Amino acid sequence: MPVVVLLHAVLPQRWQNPFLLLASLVFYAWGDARRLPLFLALLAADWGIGLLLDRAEGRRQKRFLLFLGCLISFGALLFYKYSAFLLGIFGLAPAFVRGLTLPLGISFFTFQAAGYLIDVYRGETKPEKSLVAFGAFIFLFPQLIAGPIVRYGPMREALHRRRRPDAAALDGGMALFAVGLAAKVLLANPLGAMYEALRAYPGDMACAWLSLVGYSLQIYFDFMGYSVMAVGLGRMLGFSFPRNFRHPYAAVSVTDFWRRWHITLSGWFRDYVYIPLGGNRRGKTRTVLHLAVVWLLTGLWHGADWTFVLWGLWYFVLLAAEKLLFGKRKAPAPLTRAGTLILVMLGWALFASDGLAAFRAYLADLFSFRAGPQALFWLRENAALLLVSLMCCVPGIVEGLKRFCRERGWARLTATAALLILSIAALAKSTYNPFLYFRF
Amino acid sequence: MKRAPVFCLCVALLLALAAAQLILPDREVSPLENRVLSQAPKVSADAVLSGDWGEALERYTADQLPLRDSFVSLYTLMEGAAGRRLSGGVLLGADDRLFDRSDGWSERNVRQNAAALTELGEQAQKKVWLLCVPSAVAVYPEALPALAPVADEEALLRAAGEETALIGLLPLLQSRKEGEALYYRTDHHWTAAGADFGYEAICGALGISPREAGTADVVPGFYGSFYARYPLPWLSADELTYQFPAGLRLLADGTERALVDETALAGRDKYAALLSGNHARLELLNPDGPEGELLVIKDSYANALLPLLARHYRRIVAVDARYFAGDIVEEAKAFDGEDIVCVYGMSTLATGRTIALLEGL
Repeated sequence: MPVVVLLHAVLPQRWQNPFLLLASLVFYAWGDARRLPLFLALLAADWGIGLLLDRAEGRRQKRFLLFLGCLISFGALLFYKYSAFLLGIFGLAPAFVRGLTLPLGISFFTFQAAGYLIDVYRGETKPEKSLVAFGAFIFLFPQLIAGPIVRYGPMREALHRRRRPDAAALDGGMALFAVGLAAKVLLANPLGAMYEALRAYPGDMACAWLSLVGYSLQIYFDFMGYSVMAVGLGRMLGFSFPRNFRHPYAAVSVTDFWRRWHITLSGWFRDYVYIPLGGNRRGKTRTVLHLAVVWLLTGLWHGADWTFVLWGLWYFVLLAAEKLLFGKRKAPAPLTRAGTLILVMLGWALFASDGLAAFRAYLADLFSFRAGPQALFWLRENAALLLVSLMCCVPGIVEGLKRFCRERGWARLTATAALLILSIAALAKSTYNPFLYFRF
Repeated sequence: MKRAPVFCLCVALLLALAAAQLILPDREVSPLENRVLSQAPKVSADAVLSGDWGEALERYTADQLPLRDSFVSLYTLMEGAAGRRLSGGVLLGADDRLFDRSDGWSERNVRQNAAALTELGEQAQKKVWLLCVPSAVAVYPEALPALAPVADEEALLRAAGEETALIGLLPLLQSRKEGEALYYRTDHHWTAAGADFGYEAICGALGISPREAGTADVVPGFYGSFYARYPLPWLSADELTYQFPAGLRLLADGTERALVDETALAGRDKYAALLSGNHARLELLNPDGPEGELLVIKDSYANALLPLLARHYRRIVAVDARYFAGDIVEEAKAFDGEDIVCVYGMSTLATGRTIALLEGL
């Protein structure tokens, strides 16, 4: 990582994009080399269609090209991610389909590429002429695996100039990277372990809710951590990626939550699905229908299973209800915050469950109205972790700390180095594996 | 870049680690973890394409991380400072005493193992006794963290007693724990004093009169298995104690071995020195023994106890069910004696079907 950043900073402009593309391909091949040809083919197809779209004359030709591009991109996604699920609905599940494994990063790849084609189709941006620059944009290693979903337009300028990250970008980027890494390994991972431990007490309502608190925090710090690492790395490379999370658990409504959670994904669905369908300008019935489509797709984007479909529908119902019923009325913020949190957490119970049967069991635990004292042990055990995690969800505290560190060089230096060292320690501990020959 | 101190420091740190990893010689084993560490993977086209090489390289990088033990200690320190009482499946109790997390122990396993012993006695026409060594959880429950996830070992012992002839031990240990330490703080095993009570209990069951305890040898600097699982830097070492009479010979899997292995005694995990570690089958020979022969089925808890018992018998054959591949019924029929004693820690009896899976049963 540091080698890539350093080399990238000193390379002359014409080598920067090829170098980034190469680094990204190596990074990708590390995880899944066999899928590289597939991705390169998709990349070339999307690039070519982008160029043709620009030259095409007439609406029909353009439409056809866009359709073709989307067919290729979403076709691959559909095949790898959803064929087993969709065929399963009709009771068919041929062995070769069940054997398919999801290519790493294909969801983000598809959305970024499709967004690009739509932008070119609409004439909102010029197509990328250079395959290398296009490859560097799509494959850019910090964000390929876990987002944020970056749009081509704002990136275009940075892709075509000599990127010389200044001191502020390097320092800020490194600090963000350390914060993201720490969120993942110091908070999300132990929170995940707490969730697992607490799910071993079936029927205990206190344990079930504590586990759900753990899971909700885990999924936030996990995802946010990856995004922040990507944004930090991007800054060190001279790019400016959009922010993906903005204190989601401080949301005052479910609508507000989705303005703060995975912002680039909600933005994608808003710009490429919801608004083209007609948004909220075609009357109440159509608005509700549009919401249903968007949230069905959002659910499916997260995974190919009925739990994700239900999860999407859950948000459809909540958002539609908010739009139609509570348009203008305002309850006191603490109340709506608490309400939103509980609704969002119930959604995560779906997300956490592997299949509908598991979800039913989880739900039964959450509302069993029986509890032993065991939850207290786990609460005490994780008190410090939960306290720190909850504090990191409060906007005032986080923004205050950020300001404090920005204004004092020594504070930022110490905090970043400490987070980095502790994260390495956590990674070392995670592979710590005493061999217990004398276990018995 | 002169004005980017955060970036420069962090990059210097990461590069220094990478450079140290390249320059420093790789370690073969980790004494703290008691295992062989991953070595540099060989490059081949297949391995690279399948991603195996990448995975192996990651394992290797993690295992050979410079200052790995210090990083692990740092994280453990943070866990301890954050008030964690449970890490690596080990509970930290009062007085820095460590315990097994045992809520997953199963009564089913205990019953099946105990019933298998009864079955063995019937097939071989011998008298079978089970000495089940409780864990420190049952002996020092007051030192456990509140609401700790542990098994009810008294219930497990009752279950064992319903399936076979159980030698009572827990009440004896509970009543005598105020004096000497009966268990190690950093290890799951028992001390010489603990094993001596086990010996007395066996003597009572077999109808032989126990001999006076001599003075135990003491070796400081013992960090046991619990410590390896939750290596809190502030924990102090235990002292290994053992009481081995003179004049005994040990045959481990047919070869003559020292009763106390000096190499293991010099390492961290010193309990492994007793009877030279775990072997599938061992014999303890004592030409002056007044009694005949005894068959023992055992795990490592017996390693501290067998030499005391060997003062009475000319020959003790001890079989470790986890490694023994022979026919246990044949073994039981063949030895020249009437009693079979089984010495097992509750952890072994309750976490697997070790005895029930023995050949011949």
